[in-house]
Amino acid sequence: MNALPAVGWTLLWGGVVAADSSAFLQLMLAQPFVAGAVTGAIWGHLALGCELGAILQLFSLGVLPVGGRAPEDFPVGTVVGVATAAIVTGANPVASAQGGPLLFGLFAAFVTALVGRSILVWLRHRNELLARWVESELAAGRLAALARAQWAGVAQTFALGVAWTALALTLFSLLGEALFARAGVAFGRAWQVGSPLVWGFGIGSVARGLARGRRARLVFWTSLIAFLALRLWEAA
Amino acid sequence: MSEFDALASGPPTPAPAPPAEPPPPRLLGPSTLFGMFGRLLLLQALWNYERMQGIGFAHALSPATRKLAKDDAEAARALVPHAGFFNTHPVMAGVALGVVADQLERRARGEAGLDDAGVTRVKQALGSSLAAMGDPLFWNAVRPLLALTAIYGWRDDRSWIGAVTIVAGYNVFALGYRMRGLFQGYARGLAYVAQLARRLAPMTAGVRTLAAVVSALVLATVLLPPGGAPSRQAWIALGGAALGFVGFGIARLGPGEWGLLLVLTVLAWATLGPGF
Repeated sequence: MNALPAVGWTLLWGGVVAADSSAFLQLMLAQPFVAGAVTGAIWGHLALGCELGAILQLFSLGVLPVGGRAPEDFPVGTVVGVATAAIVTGANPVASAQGGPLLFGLFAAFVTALVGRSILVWLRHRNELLARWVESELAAGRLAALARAQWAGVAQTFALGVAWTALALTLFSLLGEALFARAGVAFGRAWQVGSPLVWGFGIGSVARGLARGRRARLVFWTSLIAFLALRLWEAA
Repeated sequence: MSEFDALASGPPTPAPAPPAEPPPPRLLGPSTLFGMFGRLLLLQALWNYERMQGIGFAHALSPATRKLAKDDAEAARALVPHAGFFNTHPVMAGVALGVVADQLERRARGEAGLDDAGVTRVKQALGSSLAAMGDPLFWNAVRPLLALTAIYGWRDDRSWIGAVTIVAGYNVFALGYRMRGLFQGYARGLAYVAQLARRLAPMTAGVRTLAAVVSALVLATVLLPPGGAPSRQAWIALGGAALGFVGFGIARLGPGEWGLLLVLTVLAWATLGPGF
């Protein structure tokens, strides 16, 4: 398979989710489940994209983009994680059979998301310069400067998203291919433990946030007992 | 007429009130408001620590000031006070924008007491109170509900369609509310904001409760997957859920740090642990 078009689309998609998460539209394209599904579809591994996207979505629900907090960059992290897992799967199909690339994809996604936070802080400081320029232009009576600066902000976020996706994808795909050539089976074994652990942790942390207050707690625990009973009854 | 006749006929009928003066025609038409709505989608393009959404707010307000000012230069200078600090939930920003546009229009008509400092104070007060309503509703209720529904669809049925429902469901709600907030904020001014909290609080509580139910559903599918899981995996999932439920808020780690810690622990266990 010629991977170049997929790489190109992935970089563009990285720019789109970076812009959507902060600067432009905020249509929720940057939600990890959406970003993961699209990236998976680009690489012909929709199921892989949905699985990683769903896990990362659970973790990202703990991130509230409020006030001056710089949130983890889960959107670009998801794109990089899914694309890396897809590349590793394509390069080592036998060693990947037990799901090892998913664990490595998660690793790539979390590292990208955490480092991406510093990039976001840098971008916000850079925006201050543009904002000061706009203010001086407005005071001088130049209205058109406002729209120009706004679109420059969007373009800057998009370009940074593309560049960060490219850099992280290159690093993690090279690292992943080298690691999987030597220890792909160990990753697969680790995923058998890692998958239920991260799924459990993710949904546990989300439930903790939602089951706050007496009524919500009561509703949550009652529903959980009812759903578990129903599933056990169905299985029997 | 005798005094008796006067008493029998009841109190004298009050003179009819003069007809109410019709409200003055609005200066900002739908096309201006739609222009503001379009620019509102770029609210955070230049988000920064000094002014947060200030520049985005000024940009969204620019069609209104352009309409109320003589020329571009006057409109630009009128925007300088609005390019300062402002921050709120992006969806709720429409309400603040509508209210400020209403105040600028009233000032343009000559209403007293609406100077730049006053309008800025109103805008900033609106920013925090609207954020206090919007953050719990959109970030803590609508987003988890849609995301968890999508995850349940994937977990239970391997369906990717949740990716579409997250985008469609959120935007029907959020874009609709952005527009409604802008138009109502402009039409009704601060009176619209006054009743928002009363209306949104029960909605937030309801959506959050629904999200808590769906989270219980997802947890049930994690503990007892559809195809049936080996019991060891179910126990690991239970351990993970307990750790997430208890540990997430206690340790001072963000979700990204927790995720990385879990992945590295599993990898270390797989490569170094005995009997794996």
